[in-house]
Amino acid sequence: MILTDEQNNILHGSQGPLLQKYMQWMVRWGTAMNAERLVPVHNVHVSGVSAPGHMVIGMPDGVMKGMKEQIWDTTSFKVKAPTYTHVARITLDYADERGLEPDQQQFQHEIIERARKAGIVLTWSCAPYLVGVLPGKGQICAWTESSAVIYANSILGARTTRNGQESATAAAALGVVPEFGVLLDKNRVGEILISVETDINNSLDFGLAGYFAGELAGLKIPVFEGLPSIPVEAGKQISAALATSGGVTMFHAIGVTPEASSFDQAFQGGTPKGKYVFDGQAKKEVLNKLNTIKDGMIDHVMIGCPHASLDEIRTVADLLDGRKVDNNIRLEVWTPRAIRRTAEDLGYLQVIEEAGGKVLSDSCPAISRVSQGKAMATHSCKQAHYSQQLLGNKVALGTIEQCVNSAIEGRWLS
Amino acid sequence: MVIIETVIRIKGKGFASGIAEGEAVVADTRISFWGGFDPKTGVIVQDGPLKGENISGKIMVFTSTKGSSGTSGMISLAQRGNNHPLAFVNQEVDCMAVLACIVCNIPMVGELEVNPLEYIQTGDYVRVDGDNGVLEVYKANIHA
Repeated sequence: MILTDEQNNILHGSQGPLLQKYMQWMVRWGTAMNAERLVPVHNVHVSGVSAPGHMVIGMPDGVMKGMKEQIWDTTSFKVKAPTYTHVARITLDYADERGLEPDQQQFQHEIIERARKAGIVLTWSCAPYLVGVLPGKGQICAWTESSAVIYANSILGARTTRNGQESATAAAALGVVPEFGVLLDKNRVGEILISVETDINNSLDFGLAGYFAGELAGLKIPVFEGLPSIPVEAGKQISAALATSGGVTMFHAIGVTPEASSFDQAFQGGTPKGKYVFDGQAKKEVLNKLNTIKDGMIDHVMIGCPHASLDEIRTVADLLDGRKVDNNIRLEVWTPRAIRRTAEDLGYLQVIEEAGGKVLSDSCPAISRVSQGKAMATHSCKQAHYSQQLLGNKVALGTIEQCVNSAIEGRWLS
Repeated sequence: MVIIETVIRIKGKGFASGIAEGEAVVADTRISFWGGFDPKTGVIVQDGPLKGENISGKIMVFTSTKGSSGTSGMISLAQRGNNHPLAFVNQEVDCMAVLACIVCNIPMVGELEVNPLEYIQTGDYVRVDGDNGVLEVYKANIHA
């Protein structure tokens, strides 16, 4: 890689050992991925700015200390590009109820204070685009959340590789990222074709199409033909599903997404390396695979993976208005703090709480590793997939309407 | 009894430097280390061919990482508890795997001249040279 004099000086320690380590990571990562240079980053979405939470409980002594030192590092510099936080591993709301020890709560308060001083915006969300973090076409980003990476590249036309907490932190500290992968035009070419030959009626259908395509795509860029235009809620679902079954960085939808006005533009004049059909049968198969509840028994309902939009909260509130969540069911809606505040202003929050539901912020069950039961209903392919592995849940997957009506009914309405 | 050791040497590219050797865990599968791996124990929890396998102290030979951006964070956390794999050998290279190996100082090779999944079986002893992009597989053939 060719570095500027300043970058080279940082690499040799001119700005201290922390920035030196971050520059080493960026240079090694870039060199391995064939980057020729570091380029300015316009927008960072960083994970790991959070107390360790339940993740480290039960690990040997010293692990918590090491984690805390690493987290401390992430707030030890002034950011060089706008930087927004991914979800935290804990939520300070209901912290005691969730069995979080006081020292972790105290640590979270300290990190929040340090992050403010570092210039980090505490969005605490896996869906930063819901709260105004909307990089424009061509903007270089370093985003962590895998579904948001796909959303940014595919729907916003911004450019970000997949990032871990270390590379995003380094990008925030240094203001640059190595230029490789989808940061370059030539690597944004579609590779496989997914022909959609079934009705796509709602966000769930977009999610199922994404889960189907991600398994086939692996690390490749899938191109959908026949997909309708994508509302933000559906964009969340297709992106999250692609990033769950596969290791996808971006997709195209012909006639829909900004770099795919035509088949030729999506494939940059080339031909697909594979062609697959997503039909009614394929849709049913994905749904059956993720649905592991066969007896209708559920004990909790999770809405907001990725985090719920204001309109999804409105939908939940409308469905619950004047009704009650069954006594044996816990209903949780997870959303960014900023949207939760607005939902309160608009009265949605009160309706949901009066019906016995909860609206929570900053985290989610899969990240915090705190499950509210053993049998979850959700609208998200991603939550369905990970909840089974991480929390040992059985899962029912359906639309938001199905989920909320099932919460009222006390059993899964398939 | 005669033990004839065969060494297969496969050239590729080093993605993260360092040298490690040990027993291989091999599968044609993509793994999300956040959500698919328990850093507290070193066990793969993701559904698929490696479910239940403890990979701590092993050389991971698999198709690629996938899924979450938490791969580097989870390998790093596993390393703090000494539950981490010693090296990565990937048929396809995801930048998340590369980042994880770089920040954890774990060697990684990829872009091999042949598909490593066809030449290595679980239990084979392998040596990963991330500095030179070379993978060596030791096959012990025992003749009675």
